[in-house]
Amino acid sequence: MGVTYVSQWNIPEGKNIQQGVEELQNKAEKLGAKKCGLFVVECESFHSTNAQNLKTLHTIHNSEYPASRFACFEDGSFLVTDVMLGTFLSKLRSVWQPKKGGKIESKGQRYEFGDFIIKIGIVSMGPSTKGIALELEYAPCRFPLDCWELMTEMLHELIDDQAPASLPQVIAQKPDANLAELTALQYIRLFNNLRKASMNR
Amino acid sequence: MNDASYHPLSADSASNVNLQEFFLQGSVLDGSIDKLFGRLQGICDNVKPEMFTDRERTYYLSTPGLTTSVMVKACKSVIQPSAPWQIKYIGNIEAADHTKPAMIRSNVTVAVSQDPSQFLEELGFILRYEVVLRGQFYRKGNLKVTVAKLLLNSGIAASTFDATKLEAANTSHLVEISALSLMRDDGAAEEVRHFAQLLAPIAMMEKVDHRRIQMHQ
Repeated sequence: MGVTYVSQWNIPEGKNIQQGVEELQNKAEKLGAKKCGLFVVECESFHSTNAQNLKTLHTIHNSEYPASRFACFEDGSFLVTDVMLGTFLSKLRSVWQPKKGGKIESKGQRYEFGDFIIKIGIVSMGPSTKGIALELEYAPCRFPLDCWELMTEMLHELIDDQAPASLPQVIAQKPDANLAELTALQYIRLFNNLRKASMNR
Repeated sequence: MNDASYHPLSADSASNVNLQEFFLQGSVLDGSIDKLFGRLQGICDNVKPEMFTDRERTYYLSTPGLTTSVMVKACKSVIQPSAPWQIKYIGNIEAADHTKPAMIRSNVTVAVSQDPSQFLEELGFILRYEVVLRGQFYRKGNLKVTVAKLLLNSGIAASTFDATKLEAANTSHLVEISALSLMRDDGAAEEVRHFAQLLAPIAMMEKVDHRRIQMHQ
């Protein structure tokens, strides 16, 4: 449970998603990262049948936190709950219903490289793949501002010119927030972007 | 998570199990409460009864197009500050079924990391009232027995909550026997009824049709 950066990795031109993933995995392995199991981050979104409530509720399940679920409103409150969240929401289904096409997940290989954890996932909605998600975690630190430079350096090694120029907005807005919350929020943002991108296509 | 006092309230598995709760309720005047405690001490598991003081906020969510609304309770222990907030969905009470010896409600409890008020409000819930229950908790195998005094807090907002400024709502204690079981498994109902008989005549535990009480209000 350290500081985490999540972002979409743009596939180089002329390659498909599978080739892109392999390229990224090769890069990680060349650096010396060791394969260490699989991971999955799932997101399910709900909307209210009440026309006055336009908010979207996102729930996240992250295999890194197997006994927790995260519930979050866009630009609103955030809660960490236990596994009963899904059952609870199913009881509210007269008002809160799963969005059509609201299930999206990132699934793939997890690597460990010293204190870093690298996760390379394929983002998919049902049967269709949407893109590649890269997650980098620096496990020993709990304060994003203290280790951001170290993480940027690592990101440059890993994804070169796609490394971020500055601290992601989600982290910059609340650097003192719960780290699991920051990870979940970054995934929600990533999933939203990929959903929008596929709608515009 | 490594904190020794961390007790996850539900494990990783069994997240989609549908549970029903059988229960019976009754009340005892404050004057006879010691007799009831004595009886419970005798018939329950031989462990010290647990004292509890819980805040309980009741929220309602109205369903568009329907007259019924969804009830959810947000609970927090006052005397165990490290225990998490809980959200409890409490389904409609089935009391009318004469073949069942106890009342039934579905019950889903979710432990949450922080005060869920804002989250519930964003879901559309409206806070109706807040009470504090102070009492003792006994157990016997599967059964949970609570004997609690209903206390009212003058200020409803979290900021004005003061455990020392609570007033008793009435001159009796609420007694509840409950047992969780899987759907369509009615064995627990019989267990609840049998236990209830052991409390007579100090407390009469009966099926109460809550809808009738509400109609008379």
